[in-house]
Amino acid sequence: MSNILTVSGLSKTFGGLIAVNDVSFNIPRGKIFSIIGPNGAGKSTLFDLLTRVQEPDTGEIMGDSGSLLKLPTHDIIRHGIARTFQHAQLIETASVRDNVALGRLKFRSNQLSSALFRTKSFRTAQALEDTQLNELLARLNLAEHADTVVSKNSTLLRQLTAIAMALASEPNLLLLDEPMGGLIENEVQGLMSVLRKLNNEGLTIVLIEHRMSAVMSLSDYVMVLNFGRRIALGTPNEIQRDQSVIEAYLGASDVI
Amino acid sequence: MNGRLPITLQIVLALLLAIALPLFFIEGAYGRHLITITLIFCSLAVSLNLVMGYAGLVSVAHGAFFGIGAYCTALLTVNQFSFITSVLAGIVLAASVGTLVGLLTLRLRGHYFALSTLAFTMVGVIILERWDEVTRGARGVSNIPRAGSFSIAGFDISFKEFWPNYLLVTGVFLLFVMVSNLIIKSPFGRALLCIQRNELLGAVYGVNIVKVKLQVLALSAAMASVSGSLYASYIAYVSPNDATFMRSFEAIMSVVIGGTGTIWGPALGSFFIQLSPELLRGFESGRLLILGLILILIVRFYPSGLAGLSLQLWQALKVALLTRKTSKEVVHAVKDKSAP
Amino acid sequence: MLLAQSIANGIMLGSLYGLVAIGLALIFGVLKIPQFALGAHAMVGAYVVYVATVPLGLNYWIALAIAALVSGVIGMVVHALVFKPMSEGPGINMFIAAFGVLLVLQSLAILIFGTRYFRVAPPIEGVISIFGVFLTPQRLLVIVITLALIAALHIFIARTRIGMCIRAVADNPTGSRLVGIDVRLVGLVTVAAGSALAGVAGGLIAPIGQVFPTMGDMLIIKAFVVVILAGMGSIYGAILAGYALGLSESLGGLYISLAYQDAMAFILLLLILLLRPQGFFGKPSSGGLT
Repeated sequence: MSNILTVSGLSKTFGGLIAVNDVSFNIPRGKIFSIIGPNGAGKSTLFDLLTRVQEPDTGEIMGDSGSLLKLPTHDIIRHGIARTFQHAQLIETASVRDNVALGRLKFRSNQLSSALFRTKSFRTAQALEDTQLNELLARLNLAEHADTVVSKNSTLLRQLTAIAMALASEPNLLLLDEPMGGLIENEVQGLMSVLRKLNNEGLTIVLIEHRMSAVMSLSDYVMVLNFGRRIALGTPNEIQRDQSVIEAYLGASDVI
Repeated sequence: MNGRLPITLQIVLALLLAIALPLFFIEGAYGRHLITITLIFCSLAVSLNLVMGYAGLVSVAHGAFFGIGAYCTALLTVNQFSFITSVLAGIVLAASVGTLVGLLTLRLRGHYFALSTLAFTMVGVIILERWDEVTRGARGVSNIPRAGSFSIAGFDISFKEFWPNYLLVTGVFLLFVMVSNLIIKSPFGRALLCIQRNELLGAVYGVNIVKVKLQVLALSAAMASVSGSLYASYIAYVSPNDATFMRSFEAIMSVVIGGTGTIWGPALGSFFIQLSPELLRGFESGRLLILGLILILIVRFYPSGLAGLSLQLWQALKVALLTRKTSKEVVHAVKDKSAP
Repeated sequence: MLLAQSIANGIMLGSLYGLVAIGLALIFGVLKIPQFALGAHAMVGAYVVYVATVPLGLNYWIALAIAALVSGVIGMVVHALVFKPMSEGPGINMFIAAFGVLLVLQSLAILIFGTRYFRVAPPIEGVISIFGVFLTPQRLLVIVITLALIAALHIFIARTRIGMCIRAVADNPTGSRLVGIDVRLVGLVTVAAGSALAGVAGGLIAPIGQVFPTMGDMLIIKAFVVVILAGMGSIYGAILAGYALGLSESLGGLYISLAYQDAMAFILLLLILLLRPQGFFGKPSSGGLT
């Protein structure tokens, strides 16, 4: 069982605030790996570091092709890593379809020259993209909403759009930041079955979530962060019985 | 101008309209002059729309890029270089300066970007005015020759004649419209949308924000320069006044009033602004007053501008003609269709 | 001595820049409105002084006071009609709208007065010599009145309740609202003060230069340079930066190049936006990014 990502000694400080403090972990290929922790524990910052949106102060991130730290932000997607954001990052004024199409950008040449001098391969690529988008939208039940403008859509639709965008890039590793925020229970169940299906097809998923029932039910592994430090890593069962985790979450009623 | 026809058809129709106007409807040298100069400024507005409407960067430097093309053509053709050479020189210089502007303003957006480009333009005018030995200073450059002449199939075509020059100007304008359309409907266009709306998202999904910004600025600057070259060879006189921030703001007004980010908006806005002295005969001093008021109103209340307005009128017309609805139902139908 | 003369000119220029820059610092820095038409308010002030002193024959000082009043009122009207309703939206739209306001004000000036350049007589004629430096009394007046206004502004901001409210809004608009500060009223007072200061600047220039519709254009552009150099929200920084710019231009004209003296401001602007977008006295988070 190999690791799709190996993280060692990652740290990030903003001004006086230590957001991520010497965090190390491996993400096993093909598994669902969840990251939990109280608010402000550094989880989203960790995602920013993994996707090269932020520069770590120390540490290393190793992927299949070597160190990710050599890569600029816009190359991460080309290495098979796609992510969503806690508050769905979309093009608010565009349709669902146009948003999801952003995920296909990595497969197209976004050169100015190919825009201006349309070759045959441009046209075939465009046609191919249209087909693939239609399939993806159908898979996630977004087809009927494809032409709606995202700013007016429900939280669930927006999250699904963001996930579809990520999936459109055909990633090996999907990083989801609180995809279930603001969803009601049956929406959570629906999303969970989508994620399970994707995982069964071989997609490695890393999930930041607060919905403990979903986390414990979905995950193969759970890592707990508190104040930027990793305080526990193990299977859901192990985590639920871990004393330090229970202390960190003192008062959270749905851990156990 | 409806958005349902394929772009090639729209351009062909525009070409036919452009040919028809001086052929059938416009009489006299002054009218011909007016439409020629208007189309030149349409080209400038279309070039500005590329960065303003698509990338969301309001540039106050396009007067300077226009001036670069104008002065390159002026100074080179006056010294016996060919028109084409001068246009190419302008393109290279403008693209370089545009790239420089982009590098200096990478992290700036909104009114900070605008202010930076304004500063650039001010420096540009100062250079044009003070660098006497090269630019001839505030006197400007006069007696700029027309684009020359060439022969095709035994016919001599000279740009001193109205039609060759007019077709050249029209051709450049429509070419720019085509270029804009090709860009907006391509992956590069999607990258521009990310720059306008959500840079972080773009970066995470593979857009090299820096590269795209620099490329679009360089292209837009080059296009503005070409319109400046056409201007110089047509008007035969350029001065630093042609490259000021007022020229830039005139282009900005054309884009805004016409409808930012639309295909034909910049042209509609340019026609509106260039022809307004005619429309407001007898009230010339009030022209800027009215333009200022319209600018404020459109920025505040109606960002889709004249293009949006004509689209709504066209749809109302279609609904009214095809279905014979009452006027109330027409308004409703149009409102529904144009809801974002 | 040429250097002393240059310094004196620089201080005068700096005072003018400083006055308009304070006005802009109040409106742009505190309320985040890129009021590109503030130079036109200075123009209004100059025209008011002209009308008050030449056809109406009033005293220059009264004319100056009326100029402040009229500019302040016009500022509030423009704010209420144009900028306040747009203040939640993108700053660039306000910038474009401000250009519209500038066109409107300039056109009104042309419609009412024509495009002639007008002359306004200074209240005190002649030339004064101080330590070998020759100054017209009007130039000295500019410096003195500016310093007086700065002192008054300081007392206003530091000692009065409404002044403290302005500081609070500059620092933290949402927090201010939460504590019960009437942000709308603060906004109006800020705009009135800023516009009035611009009007006074225009009235002070009138006897030095001439009065014409586009006289405010260069002023407002340089004022933006000053405010950005200083950093958003920093009013005292704007004063300092104003004098710094005035002196740089004057000394630069003397030692570097007279022809390119004007370019200095713009090159400084480009440098500061590139290297330190938050300005010298601004907070790092507020740097030129939106």
